[in-house]
Amino acid sequence: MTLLALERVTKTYLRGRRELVALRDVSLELDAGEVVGVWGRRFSGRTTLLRVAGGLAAPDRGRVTLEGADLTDCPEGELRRRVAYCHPRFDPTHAERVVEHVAVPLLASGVRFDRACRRAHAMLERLGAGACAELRPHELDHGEATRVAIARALLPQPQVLLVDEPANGVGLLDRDPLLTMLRTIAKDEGVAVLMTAAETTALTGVDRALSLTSGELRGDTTPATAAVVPFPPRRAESSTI
Amino acid sequence: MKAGTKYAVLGLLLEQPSYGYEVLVRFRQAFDAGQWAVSPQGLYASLDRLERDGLIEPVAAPAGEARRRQPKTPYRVTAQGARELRQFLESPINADPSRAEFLVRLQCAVSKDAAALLELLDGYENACLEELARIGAEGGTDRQVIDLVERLALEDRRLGLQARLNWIEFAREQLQGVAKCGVAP
Repeated sequence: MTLLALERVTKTYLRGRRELVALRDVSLELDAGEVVGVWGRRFSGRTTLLRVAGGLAAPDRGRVTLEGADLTDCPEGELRRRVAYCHPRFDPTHAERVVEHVAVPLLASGVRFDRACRRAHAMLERLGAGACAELRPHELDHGEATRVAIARALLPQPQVLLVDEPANGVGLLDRDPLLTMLRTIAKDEGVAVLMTAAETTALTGVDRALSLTSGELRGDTTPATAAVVPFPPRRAESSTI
Repeated sequence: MKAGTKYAVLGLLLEQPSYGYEVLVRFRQAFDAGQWAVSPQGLYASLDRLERDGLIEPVAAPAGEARRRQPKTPYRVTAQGARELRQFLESPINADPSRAEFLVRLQCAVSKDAAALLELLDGYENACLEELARIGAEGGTDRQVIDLVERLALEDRRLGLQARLNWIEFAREQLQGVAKCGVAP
């Protein structure tokens, strides 16, 4: 069964008196455990695509569904838990140390501090950022900040992970390991990953590569027509692959 | 004979029957810009092979031509040759399309309208994107250690695909301009 689906979504923005089309009649299906990478230049609509997919921006036309149910029908808290939007920004009013920042989503849902920090530590280790746990966010380099942000997004065990340009600003030698790790997590946890890239070289290991130009999405937008069939996720409850 | 050369020659001869040297000149006119070169020997060998396979045939030379010491024999495409070319053009683009094959498709489609070319571009882009996903799968991204040389080769392929996608984007904008107002932007 399709986990996340965008059905003929159009999204426009107003810039003064001009209307800019960010997404034009875009359809996309995402299954559990697959990694879909969208290549697009700046202003191609790629960030809007992620925001709409995550329910952070409402489409003007069309709809977005999560396991068949409209995103707009999903309570805000539940939606944030099931669909994680990863952004490498750390609000200094939320926490000080990196490990606390990663624990923030758990703390917000009522988990005890020490328990939340323990799980945050484990997740940071898993993402290869264990050494960053006691640092302050401003001490992180770009690659570390990306890993930490992904750890924070993954901690509440979402079904869908949305990552805007994970490889942006990451050193060339660190890039492939980072993307491989994303793929491993997707397969192990059955998380559907939708990520964007400004360069095709940052699409290593995706199950499907798509392109977005002037708001139009091209490529195999459904898993069924994809040339590369995703591996069956190990921990998906409703795998149909 | 490479498939690309075969269909390129068929396409050129279908457009206009020509003798050997003419085909060579027209080949260069059509494909030089795409950095696709063919040697005279290679081209004549292709013509021989196509004739042997019954895909092209010599046309009776004009009256004056027959008296020359070395008469120039124009070739034309046979019905079977035309059928094969059409089948190639209508077949979906391979997952890993060679540049030569795509250039032939583009060249053969020149007489068509912008809409047909845009459709062709979509197919080419799809093929490139599928190839990108396949590189990931082949590249052993599930393995922790990738051989350095393998990594470099994969990067080269990815950057090559990036260039193709950039070109597709450029071509699409040009064609959309043509489709809208009849001239390239």
